[in-house]
Amino acid sequence: MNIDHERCSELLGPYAAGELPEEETAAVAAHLEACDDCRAELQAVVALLEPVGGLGPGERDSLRRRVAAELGIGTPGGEVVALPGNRRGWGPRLAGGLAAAASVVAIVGGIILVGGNGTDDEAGSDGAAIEAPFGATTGPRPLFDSGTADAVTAEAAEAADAGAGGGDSEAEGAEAETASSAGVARTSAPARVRRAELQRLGATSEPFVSFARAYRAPLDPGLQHAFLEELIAAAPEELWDQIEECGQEVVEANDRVLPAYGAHRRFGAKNVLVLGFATASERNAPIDGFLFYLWPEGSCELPSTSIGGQIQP
Amino acid sequence: MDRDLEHLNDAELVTRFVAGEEPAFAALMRRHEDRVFALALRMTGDRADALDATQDAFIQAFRRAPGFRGDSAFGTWLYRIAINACHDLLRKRGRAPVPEAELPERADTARVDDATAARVDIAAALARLQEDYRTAVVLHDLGGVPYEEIAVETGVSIGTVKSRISRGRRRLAALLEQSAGPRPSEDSTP
Repeated sequence: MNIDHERCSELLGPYAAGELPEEETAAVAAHLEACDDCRAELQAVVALLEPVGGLGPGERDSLRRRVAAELGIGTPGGEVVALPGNRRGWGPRLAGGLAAAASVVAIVGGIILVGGNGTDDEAGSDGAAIEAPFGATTGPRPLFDSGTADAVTAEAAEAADAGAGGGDSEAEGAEAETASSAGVARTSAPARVRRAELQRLGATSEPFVSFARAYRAPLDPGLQHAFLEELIAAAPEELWDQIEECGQEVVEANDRVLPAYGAHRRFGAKNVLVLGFATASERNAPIDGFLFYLWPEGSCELPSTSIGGQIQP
Repeated sequence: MDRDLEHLNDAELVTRFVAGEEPAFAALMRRHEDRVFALALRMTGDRADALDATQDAFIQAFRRAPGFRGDSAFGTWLYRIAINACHDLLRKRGRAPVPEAELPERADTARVDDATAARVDIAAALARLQEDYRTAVVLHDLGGVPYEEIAVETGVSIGTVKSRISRGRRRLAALLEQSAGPRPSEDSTP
């Protein structure tokens, strides 16, 4: 498939979000190779899609109070009930990127809470308060997904959901099964992952849901590294270095993230390392969000994309 | 909270609100506050400013709702109000955009790479973008609003919308490049 400049420009958003079918992904990639203007456009799109912080609970209350006071109306309290139809009206990237971004925080810093003993002070940051929990085997643990069982099912469901993907589904299913039967994510043909699948995983699956109940920010560096080590230990050897390097970069800069998930997948036209982090929206707040970074195989320079959202306990 | 309202779509909520049913506005706000705040945070780069701009946007939306004709989706309309609220706030804060007349026509793309984009202050770059471009780019790339919808909302042709988005992105890339400055890793390359 060949596409012209205008068509490429139209497709850059979904391309950056990993939402294009394979054939179009390849066509955009080919056009990008040859087109300086479209590469520049892609830079802007990627920058715009980077997640930003969302409303923290205190900010939400404050906003509602201020608007209500200004307008002399009742506060719009209560939970947001997002209607699928409504989200679609804003376009998939808003639901997937912005709304998700709304709960993903400019990630910084951390302490843990285990069994309700977390504190709101800074004690955890130097690791002092952390000793016991992390050696413990009772708390929720990070998960390296080697592409079996649930992941394959989820992917098949996603492929079916996609509908328009049509002919893709079968191939993907077969591919996923290959990875599944091998028992590990295979470097040569990792199963494909879609943005929506990761959003679902982060919002509703383990270990994110358990992490939301167990930990709070700021997270202790000792815990962050211990969980990273667990992911490394569970991953195929060829991924060890990349998980360590990419994961360290994230946790060393942020005390509101906790390594929770790893996988080797194909995303768009690239094989990627997926690392998922449970995130807290604020310092001194429980974990309530998730953030996946997808790095091209073998590189920690800059993630191909990031996908975030709110955990729904 | 009136659970029944949560099952109505935006247009129905606006109709109810304009007819005097105040809780319908609260429902609209609950539904859109995260998205508007995320946009405002992207545009202002500061949480307190983003909160102020979000507040302004909803207050304006409340007051202007009777004039909402439904030509475009409520979300598009609200988003545009939010974009303007952000810009007004930046102007008031003395962080008005620097005229971009001196910008190169397009980015020197050889030096625009992924790492650059990651380090720049996108809020500052957006603030410096020409208004028509900024509106189109933010609505489309941040809001996921389709071309047709932006054309209706801004009263220009689809071709113009496409062109604004395309040019706006390239200028944004150029601005990001400028603000990123020289990269130490490149400088140290033998």
